[in-house]
Amino acid sequence: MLIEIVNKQDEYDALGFIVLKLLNRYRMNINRVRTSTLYYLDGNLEIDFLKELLVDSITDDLFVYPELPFKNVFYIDIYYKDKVLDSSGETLKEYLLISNFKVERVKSIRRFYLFSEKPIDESRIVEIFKNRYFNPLIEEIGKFEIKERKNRSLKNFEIKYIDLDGDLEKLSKDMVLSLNLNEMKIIKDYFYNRLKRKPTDVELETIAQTWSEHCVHKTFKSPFKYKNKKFKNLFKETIMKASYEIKHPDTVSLFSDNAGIVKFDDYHNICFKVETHNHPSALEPYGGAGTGIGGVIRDIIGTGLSAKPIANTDVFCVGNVDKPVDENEKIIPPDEILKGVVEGVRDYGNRMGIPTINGAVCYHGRFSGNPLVFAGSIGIMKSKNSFKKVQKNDYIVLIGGKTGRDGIHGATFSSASLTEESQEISSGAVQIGNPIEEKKMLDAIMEMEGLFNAITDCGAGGLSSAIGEMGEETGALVFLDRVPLKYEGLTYSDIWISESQERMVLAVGEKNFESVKRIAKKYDTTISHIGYFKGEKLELFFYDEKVLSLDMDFLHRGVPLYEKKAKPYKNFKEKKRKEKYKFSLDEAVYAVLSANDVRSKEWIVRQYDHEVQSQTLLKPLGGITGNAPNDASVIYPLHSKEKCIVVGCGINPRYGELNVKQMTYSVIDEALRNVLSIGGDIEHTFLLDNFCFGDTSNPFTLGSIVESAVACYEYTRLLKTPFISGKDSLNNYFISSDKIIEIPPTLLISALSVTDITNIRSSYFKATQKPSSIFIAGKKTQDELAGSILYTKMKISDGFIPKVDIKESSSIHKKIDILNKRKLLISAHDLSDGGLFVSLFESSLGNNVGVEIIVEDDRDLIDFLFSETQTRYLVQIYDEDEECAKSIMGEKYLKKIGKPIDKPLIRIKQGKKSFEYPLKKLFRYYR
Amino acid sequence: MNKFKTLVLKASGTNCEIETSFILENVGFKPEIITINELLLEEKKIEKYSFIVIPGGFSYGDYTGSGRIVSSIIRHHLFNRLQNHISNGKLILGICNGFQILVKSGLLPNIEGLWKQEVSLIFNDSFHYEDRWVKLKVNQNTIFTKNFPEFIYLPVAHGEGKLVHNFKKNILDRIGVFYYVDKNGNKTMKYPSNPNGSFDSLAGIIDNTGKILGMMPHPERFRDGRQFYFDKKIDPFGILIFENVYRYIKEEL
Repeated sequence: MLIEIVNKQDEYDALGFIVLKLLNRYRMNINRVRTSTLYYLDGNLEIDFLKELLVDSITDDLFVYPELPFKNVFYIDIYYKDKVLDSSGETLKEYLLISNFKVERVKSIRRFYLFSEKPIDESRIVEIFKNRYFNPLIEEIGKFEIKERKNRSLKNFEIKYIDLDGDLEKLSKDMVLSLNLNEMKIIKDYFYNRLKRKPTDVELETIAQTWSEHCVHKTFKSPFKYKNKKFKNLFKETIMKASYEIKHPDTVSLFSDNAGIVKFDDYHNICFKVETHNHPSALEPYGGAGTGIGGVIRDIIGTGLSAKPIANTDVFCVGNVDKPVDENEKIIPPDEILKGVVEGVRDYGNRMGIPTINGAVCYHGRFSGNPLVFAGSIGIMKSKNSFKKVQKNDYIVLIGGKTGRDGIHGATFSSASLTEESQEISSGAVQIGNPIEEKKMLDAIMEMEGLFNAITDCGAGGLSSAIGEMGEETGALVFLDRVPLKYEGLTYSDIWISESQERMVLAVGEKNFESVKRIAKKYDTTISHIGYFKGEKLELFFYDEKVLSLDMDFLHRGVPLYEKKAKPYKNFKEKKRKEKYKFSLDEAVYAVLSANDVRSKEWIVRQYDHEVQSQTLLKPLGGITGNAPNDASVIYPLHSKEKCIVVGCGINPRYGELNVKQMTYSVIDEALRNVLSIGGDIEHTFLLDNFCFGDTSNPFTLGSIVESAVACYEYTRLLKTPFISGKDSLNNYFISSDKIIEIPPTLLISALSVTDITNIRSSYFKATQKPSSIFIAGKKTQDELAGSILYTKMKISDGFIPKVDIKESSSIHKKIDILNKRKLLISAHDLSDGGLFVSLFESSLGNNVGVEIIVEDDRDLIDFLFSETQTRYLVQIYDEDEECAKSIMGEKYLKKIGKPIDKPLIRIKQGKKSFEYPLKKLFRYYR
Repeated sequence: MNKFKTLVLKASGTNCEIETSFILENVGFKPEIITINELLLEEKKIEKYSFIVIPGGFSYGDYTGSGRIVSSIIRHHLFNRLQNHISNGKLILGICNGFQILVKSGLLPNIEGLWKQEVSLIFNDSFHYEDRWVKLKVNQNTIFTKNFPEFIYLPVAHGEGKLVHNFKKNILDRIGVFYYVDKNGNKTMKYPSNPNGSFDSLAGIIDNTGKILGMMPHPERFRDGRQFYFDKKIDPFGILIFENVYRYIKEEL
């Protein structure tokens, strides 16, 4: 049966209007567009039941095929390919099943009717819709036709043994193992000489997953040689070392669990993790970003004995959206990537009921083929639930979604590079998430508190890495035929390495299993007992046949690490700007405010639910106008009377390209400025690092990694803000027909600060009764414009890049912290992308409080207003508090620059010159 | 029996049940979060409660149209019990997804008395989800909004909140409780003051009996003055509805 639901009137069809507008932009001579939803249902069903269920009697009409709502009108259908998750179809099918209908298959189809007096060129429509309304990787476009589905049963199967006598490199490539020749040789030696047999396919797959860059972080853990310096384990000797030297009393668990854990109050801890999902998002932005956020949420649910996710963050780096993409380039245009990832985070995060409260977007030409998608999540847990330990003989319990063939080879795929063909060949690596599956699982797990001994999520590597990791000390015995499947036809190997979303593994004592089952039922989530943690080895069975038997020691400690030879990254050569600027101050102002990195992100922020759970104290946008960005957002958990959590971040690929070390200092500085601007507490601020770098076979890229890791160590040690968790995503480069494009070295620093609710304040200027003034607190503004927004926009390639003197800067931040605690600031806003002018504008925008700035010296106004010198805050202080603030900061670090005024404009005076910019006008560029 | 026992109905995908229970508890209710699966096992349970709240979220993902599956469950399994609940003078509140469910199941507003769907909530004109604070004009002549100020602020956060109907003006005046208004307090069709394009600026409506209220804005997200979107000392309007219901149950039931 094929039924179609269509709106009664054009007026109800918002999507139709939007598509019409789009097609008009392409001058397609379409005068009306209508959209509809179809369901193909294979089963014994009552039309009345379906009608009542699916058709809105006020706004919709129902048509049963072959009836059509519009006769002789061109239409085009979009629907998921088979084996790709179709949430609408699945949801409907499940509801029909529990309503006692027999139904085999339900598929949803979106239809677009295009009305025109002229003939319509279908191929043009497909071209316009591509990557906007469908992705050829996962969806079909054309006229929907019913295809019979072939399923094969695999109960009669053969175990596949792999010969290791031939060309090992070729084998690794053919099987998408992403293992190098040395690793393959070690594997061969293990099987041929120790076990005296050939490996099975699933054994090789398991080793490849466990040893992948994605899972084991081979590069960061390797020995390095760099500029006469040797590291045995780069990660331990830089990032981790700082945290251990700081010995922060409030850190609970560092770098060991799925997320770092720190103390919140006497009874609760909080944890924070940020993940990347870059390669999947390059191919399928919507699904890639959605499953990225889904994955990091499961990391939080899987931390300790489970934490409750209370906030999400997201940061995107995309290509240059202003430059049209060459039609021959087989990549998704950057603006469509950005729209897709925003919608992906929106639809997943909002449905999960977790507020998305912080984020950033960066634009850089070198992200075109390899965008970056960072997704973060913060959780809260009772202190006593901070640690997990699998007990011998615990049941291995799989909870959540069913297993399909999706996402096979995700871990090994994401450890390799992207090429032009990736969108065509890697369909297996891409998944579409179903947030409701995950929500049901989350609700159930929250109620299972105390009933399990350990928990972890099935992310990259699927069951293979989840159970492999959990059973490291106890061993694990798994019966793969007990895993609930989405459809028949999966091999044992598929089941084991599938990366189907929304699944987690629990270690449950025998006596608690019935209770766990009952709770799962209450929340409509699937649960199955698939094995035992015992036996020391990892062993897999499929219908009574042993298909895998590996020593845990070899699996987890067998991966060889080689010394990496790194060469110094070629930093930008600074030189003094010789020529005078060829543009006016006005031109600079409008260029910077309308720059993509600077302009308002409101269109993104408001699509996210940032207030669900009712714990959001300070929202991403505020002020009477609701337009002013706050530097960080604040969460105060429901029962918390005193404490709250401030969340901010720092990232800057423009500086990364020029000078990795200074970029690293700058982004740590920015993350810190963000949380301190809102009233965060530097003594309780914790950091996360996410390294996204290029080709690890390029020694210069390796050099940039070392520079950055060392800089992280140096600066955080002085600030005493430890890293609690981190992740690296390497090999971010894109191979197009004629060149390799590596991304600029990119480090995302996320900061979380636990502070008193009474310290929190918004970023923008306030109209006050008592007189107040505006100051720059922090470093003196230098002519540091290389890599700035202004120079990027104006294509100026000389100048100096902002330099952070880490001793001076850490002392400034600590003084700002004192101002915060003494409550001497009325408002504080970070000075970063776009420099002072942007900060003045954003601060004025919130409450329409204008400002008059007086520039005393005769320096170039453009330099002063757009320099991006680090460690500066724009602050508002009552005149009566000025002396006190100065005594804390020191004269040098607190410079009065002007006063708030009661007109909505920014006035800048220098000698006899005066410039005025009404906020209303500026907003038109910024918006 | 505690007469302040409140049922907070949870479907798969409902996601505002905890904060809704929290605000209920703060006011003095005894809220219980019950999943649809539990309720279907023992439908009689409904009788224990004086107040039913259907909170916000994405029941069943809204994949087959917002609120439609829960509406179907209500119509097939719980309808009589909910009708009895109302005829016994008890109250129902639907927030956001809960409002969509009440409307699509035919419980709200039921002007003709036929228990059929009479209005609908469809995709915002922008065709996407949006979270923002709105100014609302309040009709104070209901149990839920007695003694309210004329204007309040609350956040909305939804993708399908455009209210459409075929009613005449006299009926509109009976059902309208909350209206989107501009900064001068005038009902508006202009975005973003009217965030979704709702007909007649309607943000919340009440049924024929005055016992069922549905609203798109989220009162449970404004329980504390500090949650307001800019720095202004302001009373948390969200809590007022629950206080009114508490008073009604205390005095009338």
